[in-house]
Amino acid sequence: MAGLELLSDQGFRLDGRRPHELRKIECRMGVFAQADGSAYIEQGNTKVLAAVYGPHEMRGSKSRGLHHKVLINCQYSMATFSTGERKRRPRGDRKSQEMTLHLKQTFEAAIMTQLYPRSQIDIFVEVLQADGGNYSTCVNAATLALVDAGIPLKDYVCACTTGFVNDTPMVDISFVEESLGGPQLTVAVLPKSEQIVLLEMASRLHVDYLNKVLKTAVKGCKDVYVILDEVVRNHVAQIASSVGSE
Amino acid sequence: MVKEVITAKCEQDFIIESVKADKRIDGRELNESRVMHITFGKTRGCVLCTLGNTRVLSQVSCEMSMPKAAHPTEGSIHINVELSPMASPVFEAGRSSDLGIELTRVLEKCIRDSHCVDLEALCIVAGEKVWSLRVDVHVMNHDGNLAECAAISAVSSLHHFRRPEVTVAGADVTVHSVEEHDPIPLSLHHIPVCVTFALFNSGQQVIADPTEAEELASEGRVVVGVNAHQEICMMHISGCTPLQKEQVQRFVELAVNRAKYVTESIKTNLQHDEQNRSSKNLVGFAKDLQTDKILAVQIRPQRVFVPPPQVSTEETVSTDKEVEMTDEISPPEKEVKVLLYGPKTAGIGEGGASQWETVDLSIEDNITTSVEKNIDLSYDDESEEEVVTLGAEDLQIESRESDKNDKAKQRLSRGWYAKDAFFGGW
Amino acid sequence: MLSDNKENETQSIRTLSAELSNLSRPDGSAIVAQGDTVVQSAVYGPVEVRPNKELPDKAYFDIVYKPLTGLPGCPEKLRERVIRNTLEATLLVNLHPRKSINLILQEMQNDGGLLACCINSACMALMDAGLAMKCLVAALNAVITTEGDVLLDPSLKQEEEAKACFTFAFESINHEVITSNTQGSYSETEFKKCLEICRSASMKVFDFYRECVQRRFSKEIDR
Repeated sequence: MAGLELLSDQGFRLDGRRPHELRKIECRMGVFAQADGSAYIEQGNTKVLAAVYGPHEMRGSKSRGLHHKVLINCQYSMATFSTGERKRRPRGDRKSQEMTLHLKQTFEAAIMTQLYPRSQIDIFVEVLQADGGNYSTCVNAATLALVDAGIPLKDYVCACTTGFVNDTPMVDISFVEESLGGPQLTVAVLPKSEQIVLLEMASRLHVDYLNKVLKTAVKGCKDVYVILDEVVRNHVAQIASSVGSE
Repeated sequence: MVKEVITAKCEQDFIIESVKADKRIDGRELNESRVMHITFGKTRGCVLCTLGNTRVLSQVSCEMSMPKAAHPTEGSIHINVELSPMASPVFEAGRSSDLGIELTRVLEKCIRDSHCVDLEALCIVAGEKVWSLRVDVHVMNHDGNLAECAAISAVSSLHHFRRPEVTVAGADVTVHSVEEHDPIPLSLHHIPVCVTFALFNSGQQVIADPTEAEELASEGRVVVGVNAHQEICMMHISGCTPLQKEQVQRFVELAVNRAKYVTESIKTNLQHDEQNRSSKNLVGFAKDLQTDKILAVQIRPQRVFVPPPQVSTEETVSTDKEVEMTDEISPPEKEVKVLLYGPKTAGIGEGGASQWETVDLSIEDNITTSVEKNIDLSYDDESEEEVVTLGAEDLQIESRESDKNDKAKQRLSRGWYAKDAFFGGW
Repeated sequence: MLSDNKENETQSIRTLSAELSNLSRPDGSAIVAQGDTVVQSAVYGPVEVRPNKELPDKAYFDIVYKPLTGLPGCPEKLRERVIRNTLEATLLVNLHPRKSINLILQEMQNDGGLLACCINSACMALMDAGLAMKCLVAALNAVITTEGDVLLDPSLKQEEEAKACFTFAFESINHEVITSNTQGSYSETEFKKCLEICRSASMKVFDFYRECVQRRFSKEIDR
């Protein structure tokens, strides 16, 4: 394992966290004036911006509109300066295209799509700094932006990436932990009902451990939910107080 | 190109209702897969996998290249998935659709990211030369469950592939040809297999190996990549059905069972092919066509009569001979009837010389007359039709008289039938 | 027949085998093997046409040729072109204005005579799709070895070693040449000799077509 010990004998990870501890999450809502909803989130060193436009009339070709539900248009991009090695282009490569598809799928399950037929909701996420768990951070950011835009959701969507080292699942893994090639499981859940809307796994994991890892991942998502919920409540309270004072 | 496959609501409802009653339209059990066949091509690393009607062909190739700076001792593997327009009318050549990206990523995760191929064994000279593998996956017929079929095909082709032997002496790298040195197989750690399930009844019911109709009617699909050691290599959910943790467990259990069976059959098929090759039996796709199937036909090597060699090289003589020969070979020229039955329907008489070009000819002659007639009778539909039939008869009479040279000239030109072959027919 | 003529050398074509309608999705499909050269082809048509390809007086005939490895390059595009020119001359494209007929060819195994096999496979797929054609097309391949001998339907190895390589396509009515595709240098007599050999071999291919179609419709015929 390249001489790096991901989990010390004392049970600490490289950055001093315990296996079940998330990184520090900081977020702000309503960071753009232009967008209908926006959010900025930092999960450790992973930093993501999200903007939501809509629901609005179909842009581009009208024929793409769906007559029974809203069309969700997503775009996942990574700033060229977000990674250690400068990226050649922010989007269009296969991985970002895949991420875009996943985002779309995740939010189709969470947004009350039947409320806005023949219209469109755009979700743009941009990774400003990538330090592991990019996809889950993007989902969390997009959730906040959707809440900010006032789009009806079934529930928050919280996502968490979990690794597995020395028989111990570790939540919210960082880039170093990711790149050492252990199994990683990304889940997005609706925390109240614990329903899984997205499940992605890479690398190898024995079947017997799956339950353990999955459980930890869902637990991690619920921890994220507590933080996001607090942020939303604070934000709404702030807006309410500023409206009330006028 | 067709934009999307449209299925009727009633058809979808029928599938959904039958799944609720634990039945499937093709009579399978809910967790029963279709019949799988793996056939190997003549060249190494060429595999055709069929799963019911779904058909995927894959071919592995390799070339020498520079390694990446970050991994100087590792070769690389590139997986290229082609949703060939052959497979479905919705697929377009050279365009990657959402389905294409999804499938590519599923295979990449299943094969590359699960470290199935020992990349370090592909190193020739550290930091300078490595083998880079390329797996071309061609989807030839799409009838659902592409992921499973493609994964089986790609993995078996990696197993079947042999790369050329190389020797390194100092800075010199010599690649041995097949004759000089037996090519060597790739070193693979495990056989990952993808298994697809379709979800019905808000995720409460799952069916294994869905057909395309079932995929379209389902709420979502789960693809699980597992190997025989019960290790999960990949997991992917598409569609928007929320799932419970317990359900995920169930898929994985089902997938593990299926994977055991699939890996076994991949291995037996590979062994069988190996035996055939060592005992110099016929191998390849051509052999598989020589069956008793009603739609398959074959003829054994056929002797062909070769026209007598030309004695003289002189041009005049040889041309004469050729004319003779053509006369000998070609059947006597017959007059062919071109029958116009009605709008957009035409019949051509049995065999014999084509007269289409003469149609073209005489139309030019006839244009003036028939146009005149048309103008005269343009207000009267019935008489117009009469004019047309008359015209067609005229053509035939004229055609018999038409000049042979003109015929030949016209035959050579592309699109040698009349643009208005059915002039005034509707 | 003239086979009793002792002076004549004999040549043979390799085993021809084919299966029609072997794919479920396309309107017509055929897999054809000439020796160890195998080509799968499929036809969709007449179908909806992309607006920029629409022709008011005839169907747009689209051909895609897929090589076994890598992406299609210049030689593949050329092959597409040759096949297209050969078959468009026989298809009654005027019957379907503002439509598109899509033909897709997939190389599966190459052991010489790939272009000929492609054309034969394509013709059978068009037949299977029930598209109206003026005549059928049979393509054959011959080479002239470095010794100057003519070799009909050679293997890939023989093809690579040869001095010149010919592919001819013949129509089924007068057995005249529709397409001639050559590589390498050769004399006029050599060309003519190859042409005649291929022409007489084309009869076998047409017989084969007939048998295929008979088998294909055997159920209907029996009824």
